[in-house]
Amino acid sequence: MTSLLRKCNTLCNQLLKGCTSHFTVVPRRWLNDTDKSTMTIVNQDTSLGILINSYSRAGFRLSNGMMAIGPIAIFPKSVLSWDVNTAEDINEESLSLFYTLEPKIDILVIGVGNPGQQVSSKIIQYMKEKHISLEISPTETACATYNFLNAEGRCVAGALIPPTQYRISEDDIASTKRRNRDMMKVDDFPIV
Amino acid sequence: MAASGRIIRGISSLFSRKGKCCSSFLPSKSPILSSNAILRYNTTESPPTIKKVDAVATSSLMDFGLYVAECMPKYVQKVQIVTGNELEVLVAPDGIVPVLHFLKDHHQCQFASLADIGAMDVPSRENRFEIIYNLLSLRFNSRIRVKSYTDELTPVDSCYEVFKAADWYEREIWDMYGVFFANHPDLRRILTDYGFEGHPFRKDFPLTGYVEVRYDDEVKRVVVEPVELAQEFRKFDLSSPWETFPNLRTLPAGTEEDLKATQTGPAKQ
Repeated sequence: MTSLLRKCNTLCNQLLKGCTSHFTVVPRRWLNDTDKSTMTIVNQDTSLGILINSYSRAGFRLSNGMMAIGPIAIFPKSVLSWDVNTAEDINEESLSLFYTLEPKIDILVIGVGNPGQQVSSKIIQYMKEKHISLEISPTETACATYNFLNAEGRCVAGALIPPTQYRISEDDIASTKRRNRDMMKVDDFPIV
Repeated sequence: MAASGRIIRGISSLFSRKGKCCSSFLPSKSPILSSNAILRYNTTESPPTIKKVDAVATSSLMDFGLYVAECMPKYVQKVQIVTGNELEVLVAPDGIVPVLHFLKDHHQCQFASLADIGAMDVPSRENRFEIIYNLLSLRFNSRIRVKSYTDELTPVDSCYEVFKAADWYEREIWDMYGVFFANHPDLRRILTDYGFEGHPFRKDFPLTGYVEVRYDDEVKRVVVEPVELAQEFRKFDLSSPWETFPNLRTLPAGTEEDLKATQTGPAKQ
């Protein structure tokens, strides 16, 4: 009886050994480097111009390392501070820079801050007469819109007002702490 | 020699089998050339292309529709069965979210899946847009349609809190029709280009649009210009003075009784 079991045992061992030796199969499609999936982060590509990395109540962090405080007027190669209080205060003068530029921009992305803010319809009409398309949305989405319109290579400018209310994720808190080099400190309230 | 004989016999048997197959394809008598082309269809069974309506299922569906109307008397304005077996509940715009909540959460309804939200533009009406919610109940294997109405300026409550799937559907309706959804988390354009003006699915928006986009080699950019068509818009008139199907002369003209909405059920104002 025990000898039978011992024979079974050795047989099983041999079978398993045989299995493990055949486990080094590489799918043919991964033999070339060009077949692998690649991922590039758009914000790290400096040839696309200035992109917005993040936003906060105070201002914006840009992809070239700069931080801009307060509302900004952002172009592919430069960024300026913008003299505007809230979205309702936007008037013809504050948008005068955008329509006097050559070459004429295709789209002006306006970030109005918090989701409920409105831009006065007279201004929208005024810009329509100047043949500049407007894309008005809350700043959270306006930053992303500006980023990928720029990455596509279209002539776009951004006029962004920092939001006062926005959603914070755990990832945001962690990246802020990492930037400030104090990951181990516990805050009473998160500073983002 | 014997081998070649076998081969020849094999080939001839192939041909004979093929001949047997061919005989079944010979047309017995062409039905089109016979005088009564319709006799074929005058059997007790209807052809498979005509939808059969189950009267029992339809009546139980109507009962359920009346039950919903009894449960929500303030908002439900009409209940109807269209195309034989589809239940529609017509609702006032204030009651969209309560009725959808009821249909999703009530134990006898359990329409937990939002299949689609669509809209329809009928410019001749005062409330020109009709918003259509299609719901599916996995538990009871049935569908229901909730319809409401609005005009260009009145906002509609978003049902994002009831169905998360409504997010992009409502964005699409905002983009294509211009119906504003209040309390929507992120209402912005989804299908049209970034600087696009207008709402394309409205009936007064022309088929070719107002602007065209082209690459201008002088300025080395894509420019947006008013649309210029080389040929004016052609409307084809498809009726002709000659008969197009002489073989089907004796067929009666198509009836639309299946498609007309059968209005059963009380209209509650």
